[in-house]
Amino acid sequence: MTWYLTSGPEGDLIVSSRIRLARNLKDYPFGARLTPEQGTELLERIRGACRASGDDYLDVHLEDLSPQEQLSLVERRLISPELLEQPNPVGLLLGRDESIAIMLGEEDHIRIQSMRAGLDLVPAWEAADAVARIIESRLPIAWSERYGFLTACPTNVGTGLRASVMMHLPALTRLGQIEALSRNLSKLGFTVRGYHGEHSRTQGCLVQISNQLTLGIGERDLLSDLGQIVEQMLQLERRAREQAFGSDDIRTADRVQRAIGILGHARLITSEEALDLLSDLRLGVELGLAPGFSAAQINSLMIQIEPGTLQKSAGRPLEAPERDCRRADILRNAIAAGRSAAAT
Amino acid sequence: MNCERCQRNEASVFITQIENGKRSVMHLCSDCASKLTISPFKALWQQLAANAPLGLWKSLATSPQMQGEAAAGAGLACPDCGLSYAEFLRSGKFGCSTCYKAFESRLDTILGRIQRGTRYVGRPLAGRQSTATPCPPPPAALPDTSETLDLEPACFLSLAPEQQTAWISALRDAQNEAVAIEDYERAARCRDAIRRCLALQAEPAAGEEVSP
Repeated sequence: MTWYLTSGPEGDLIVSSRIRLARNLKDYPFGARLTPEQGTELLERIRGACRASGDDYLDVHLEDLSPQEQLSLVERRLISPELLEQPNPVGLLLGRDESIAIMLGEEDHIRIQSMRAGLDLVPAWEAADAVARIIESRLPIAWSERYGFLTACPTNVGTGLRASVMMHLPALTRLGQIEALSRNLSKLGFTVRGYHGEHSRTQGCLVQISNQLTLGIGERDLLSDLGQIVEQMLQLERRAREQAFGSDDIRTADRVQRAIGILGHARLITSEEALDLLSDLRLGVELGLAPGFSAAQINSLMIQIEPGTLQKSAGRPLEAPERDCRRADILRNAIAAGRSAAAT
Repeated sequence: MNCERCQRNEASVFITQIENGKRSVMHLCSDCASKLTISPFKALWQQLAANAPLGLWKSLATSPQMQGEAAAGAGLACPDCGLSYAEFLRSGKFGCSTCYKAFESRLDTILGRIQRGTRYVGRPLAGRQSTATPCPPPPAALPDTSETLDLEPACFLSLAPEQQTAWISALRDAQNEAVAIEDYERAARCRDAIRRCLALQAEPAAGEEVSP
């Protein structure tokens, strides 16, 4: 099931879990130093190996897509923004339900991504690892006994594994604790980022926690460490919620209903405002204050209202005011549907 | 409503406190709220902060400890892609997989600063033909944990069972000593070394590929 159309374990606070594995072929320079000819040859070899595996991948030719369609892939977390900036040929192999995406020709030759709704790290890793094993057994991989999988950046060498969890932390955000969280987790080898990944500010109270360490720690130990940190964050957020907005608190109900009010009536809305209001609505769902709405529905809305995905569904480029208008339409319809679901 | 503390910004945080059975609500702006240390967080931050800081690449390349690094690796260059060690330090990126071999003499210093350890402990490469490397002879005496925490897997497996147990218990002692002097970085390394040994014991055939 596509991750953003559903909700998973601990889905009330955790939006998604993501795994990324980096692999390179030996005998080719790393991404930035490939010649275009080498890049094309490399892509063909990897595509061939994946096709021969019998797995059913959609071979996406990024160069044939419009800028809006490309942006929509970034918004759905299927590719990194960096993939679009590579000077050399790049590619994307997409599993049919979008839970597996293989980026070709990024900083590392192969980056296998696996996405799951909710807190589901180990199954997500197992899915990515199964793909990695197939590739490893068919292609000559840059690997050493001493350092494991060799990558372009020494911060990825070893397992090449980056695991991230996207959490909804409205209480910790409002209590101004995210910065302290970020400072402290970095000492443990984890980074905290905003909704839009690297360098992004926190939006819609969504925070992404991921590992920095890939060498000197095994895959399962790392996932277990990250899982424990996430569990601690969940406990903290729940405690902070009792303090910041107990469920009997009229102010919290007010906040949730205001969000529903604005989302249900606005005619123009920016994605920043919409993400913040959807965060309030999500909080309402989590506290049982918003009958008719679900976390899965909010996950799906968050993707639908992003600029690229909006333009892709419109089938043409849209200027900002037009996007704000379409975004407001989508949200009004969703709120109306939620309200009528609650009434029946 | 304005913040009770600064009286300036709009209050956006409402903190309910229950003291001696009496309930009171504080109205604060998020700036002021972030300056307050709220009790449940304080304990957690202290607990989390008990680990040694890790440098990231950016700070690493410019850190004083790394100033001598370019000089130490002067003259090193990759025979395959031509990347010099100085260029690697500047960009933080290897040019190709051969760079790892070319810069091997300096890598433990670099990786030791940005990673948990300097040796791979993940799963083996899939589909690799078992190269059946001969086991090194078991060490005459166990190394001192003050010198090393990592035995090569093959070396650990070549130990007699009671020696394996002795090594793990030496690591446990080292971990406890490290905790006692609040050297949490070393404690974490000990913990990982113990985990690795236990994993090797549980899986004596490790290194042989299990088909997926």
